[in-house]
Amino acid sequence: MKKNFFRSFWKFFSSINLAIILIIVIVIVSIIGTLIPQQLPETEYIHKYGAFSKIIIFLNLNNLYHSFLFIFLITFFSLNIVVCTINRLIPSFKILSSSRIILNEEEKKNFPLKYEFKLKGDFKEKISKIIDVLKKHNYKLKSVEKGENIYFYAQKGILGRFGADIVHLSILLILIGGIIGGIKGYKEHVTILEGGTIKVPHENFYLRVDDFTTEYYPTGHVKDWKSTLTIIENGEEKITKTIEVNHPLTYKGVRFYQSSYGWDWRRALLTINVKERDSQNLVTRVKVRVGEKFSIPNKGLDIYAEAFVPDFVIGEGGQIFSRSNQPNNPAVLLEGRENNKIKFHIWIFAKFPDTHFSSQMDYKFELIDFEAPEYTGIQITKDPGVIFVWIGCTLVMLGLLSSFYIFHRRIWVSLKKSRDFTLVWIGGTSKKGRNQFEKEFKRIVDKLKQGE
Amino acid sequence: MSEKDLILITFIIYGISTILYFLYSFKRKSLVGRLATVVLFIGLLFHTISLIIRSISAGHLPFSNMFESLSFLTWITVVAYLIIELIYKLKTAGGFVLLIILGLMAVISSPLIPKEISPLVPALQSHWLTLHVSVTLIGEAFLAIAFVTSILYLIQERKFRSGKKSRLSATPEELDNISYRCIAIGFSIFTLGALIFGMIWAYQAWGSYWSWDPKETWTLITWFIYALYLHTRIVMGWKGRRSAYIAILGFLSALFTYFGVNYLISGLHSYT
Ligand code: HEM
Repeated sequence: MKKNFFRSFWKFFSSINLAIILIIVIVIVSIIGTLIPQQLPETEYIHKYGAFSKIIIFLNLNNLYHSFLFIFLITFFSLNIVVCTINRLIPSFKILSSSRIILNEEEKKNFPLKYEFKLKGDFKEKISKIIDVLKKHNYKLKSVEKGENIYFYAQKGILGRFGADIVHLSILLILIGGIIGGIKGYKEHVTILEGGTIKVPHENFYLRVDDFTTEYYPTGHVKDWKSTLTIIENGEEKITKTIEVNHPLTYKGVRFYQSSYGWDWRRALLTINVKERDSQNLVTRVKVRVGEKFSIPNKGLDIYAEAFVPDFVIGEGGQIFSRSNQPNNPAVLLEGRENNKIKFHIWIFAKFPDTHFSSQMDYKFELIDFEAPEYTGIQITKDPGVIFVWIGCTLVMLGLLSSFYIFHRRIWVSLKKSRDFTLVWIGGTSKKGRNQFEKEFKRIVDKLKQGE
Repeated sequence: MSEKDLILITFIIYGISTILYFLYSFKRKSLVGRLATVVLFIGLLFHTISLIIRSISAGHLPFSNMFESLSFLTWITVVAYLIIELIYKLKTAGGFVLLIILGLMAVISSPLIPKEISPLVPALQSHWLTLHVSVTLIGEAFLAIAFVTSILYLIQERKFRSGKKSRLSATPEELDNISYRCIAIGFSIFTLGALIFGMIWAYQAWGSYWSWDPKETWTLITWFIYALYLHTRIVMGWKGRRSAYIAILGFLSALFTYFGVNYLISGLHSYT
C-alpha cells in the first residue's frame, strides 16, 4: 500500500506534462495577480469590484502571491523539479560511471557516426597519434590494452550533460532562500528625527541618526537623501556610515536603507501675523507650536493652534485630511476662546491669505511661515536567505550556459594490430549539437588518416 | 548636428536599408544584398553617434527614461541582427527585422515620447540599474529576432505546405533553428539582466530582491513562457509551428512588460 502510494506519487511528479501544465497555470494566475491590485484594504475591493469582491477575498486574490492557491502551485512545481531531476540524474551518472571502454559488436552497430579504416605504419606511432589528435581537441582519454589491441574512450563537455539539472536545482535553491527569508527575515520601517536614537527592532543594538540632508539638482529636483547613521551596541559606537538611496549600511546581517524622509508636522512651529480686520494694521506677530496657544494682548482672547496639515484637501464626505506629507497647501486650524467660550474655529491657508471662513472675527490671521523637525525614514531588513538566492542565481547562469553551449561528446576508438597495418574503428555520439559534432568528428578522422 | 537631426538621419538610412533588404529578398541580386548591409552599417554609425552624444550631455548612460532605453533597444537589435546575419547568412530576415526597427524609430521620433534629459531620481542612480536595463535590452534584442524568424517560419511553412514557391530563400527548418538559437542566447542574457541584475538592484535600492510588483511579475511571466518554449521543444520534441507560436507569445509578453505595464498597471517601476 505504502509502496503503491509512493510509486504513483513518483509517477505523477515525474511527468513533464505536469511541468507544462503547472507553468501555464502559474503564468495565468500570475497575470490575474497583476490585474487585481494587491494588498489593499478590503473595503477598496468592495468599492471597486462590488459582488466580485467576495470571490476575490475568498480566493485570496487580493494577496495572491502569498495565497494558499499560489503556494500550492509552487509546491507542486518544486516537487515536480525534484522528481524530474532525480529521474534524470540517475541515468546520467550511470552513463558516466559505467561507460565501458571496450564495446561489443552490437553496441558498435548503433553509432550514428562511425568509421572503419586501415592505417599503414608503426603501431606504436598510431597510438601516440590518436592520443595527440584527441588531446588537441580537448578530449579526456582513458585506454585499455587487451592482447595486441588497444582501446580508447574519450569525452569532453560533461558539464553540458548537467546544465539543465544545475538550472533546475538552482531554481529550488532560490525558492529555499526565499522561504528562509520569509521565515527568519524581517522588514521594518522606522522614522527618526535628526539626533534621535532608537532600539533596532528584533536586535540588541541601537541606531542613532547623526545627520540628515537632502541634496537638490540646480533644477530643484531631489538628487539624493543622505543619513549619517551610527550603530551603538553595549554603549559603544560600532560603526558610522552615511547612507543614501542605493547605498545601505550593513551591520551583523542587518541592512539599513534610506527609504523616505519627511517632516514631523505635529510639532510644527508656526509664525502667524495677527491683523485688524478692517484696517489691516499688524497687531502682533507670534510664533506658536501646534497644540499650544497664544493670546492677543489686553483682549482676553486665547487662540489655540489646534491642528496643522501640510497638504490640505477636503474629501468627498467633507472630512479634512492631508493629501501628502509635502507642504503643498499648508493650513492651520485656529480656535479662538474668550473666557473659555469658543468664539471661532477657522482654517487659515498660507497660500490663500484672503480666504475668510468666518466673518464674526475682529482679526485677520495670516500663516506666514512654518517649520517642522525633519525626520529620515529608514528601512531595516534582515534576510538570512538572501545568500542562497545569490548562489542560486549564479548557478542558474552557469547551468544555462553549460546547457546551451557545452555539449557532452564521446568518442570510442579501437586499434587492432595486423601483420602490416592497423585496423581502426572510431565511433562518436554527442548529446545536442549534432551538426557541429559531425564536423569535428570528420576533422579528427581526417587527421588520423593524414600521411597515409 | 543636433541629436534630433541624427535620429532623423538614422531613421531615413534605416528606411533605405529596409527597401534594399526587401529588394534583395525578392530579386536576390547579391550586390543589392551587400549594399543593404552596408547601408544598415552606416545607419548604425549615425545611431551610435546619437547615443554617445546623449550619454555625454546627460552625464549618464542612456537608460534612464523611455526615450533613451528605446533608442538603445533599437540600436542593440540592429547589432544583434547583424551578428545573426553574419553567422547564419540570413539576409532574408533583414527586411522584416528592420520593419520592427522602423516601428520603434517612429515611436522614438513621435511626440508621444518626451526627449528631455531628466535628472535621475535617487533610486535610479545605480550601476546595477545601468547593468539591469542594458543587459535586459540586449537579451530582448535577440528575442525580437526570434520573434521575426518565427513569424517568417509561419509564412514559409504555409507556402511550403501548399507547394507554392516562396521568394524568400530561407527554408522553414533554417528559420526554426535560428529562432531556437536566438532564444537560447536571448533567454540566457534576459535571465541575467532582467531577473538577476533586477533582483540585485531591487535589493540595493529597496531592501528586498522580489516584491511581486507588476513589472517584476510580468518579467517572470515572460521568462516562464520562454521556459515553456524550451521544454516543449527539448523534452517533448515540439518544433515548427507550435514552437513558433510560443516564441511569438513570449516576445509579445516581453513587449507588454516593457510598455504595457508602465501605462496600464502602476507599480514601483512606473518611472522608467
Ligand atoms: C521555470 C522553471 C524552469 C526553467 C527555467 C527550466 C530551465 C531549463 C533549461 C534551460 C533546460 C535546457 C533546455 C535546453 O537544453 O535547451 C531545461 C531542460 C529540461 N527541463 Fe527544465 N526548467 C524549468 C522547470 C522544469 C520542470 C518543473 C521540470 C520538471 C519536469 C523540468 C524538466 C526538464 C527536463 C526533463 C529537461 C530536459 C533536459 C535535457 O534533456 O537536456 N524543467 N530546463
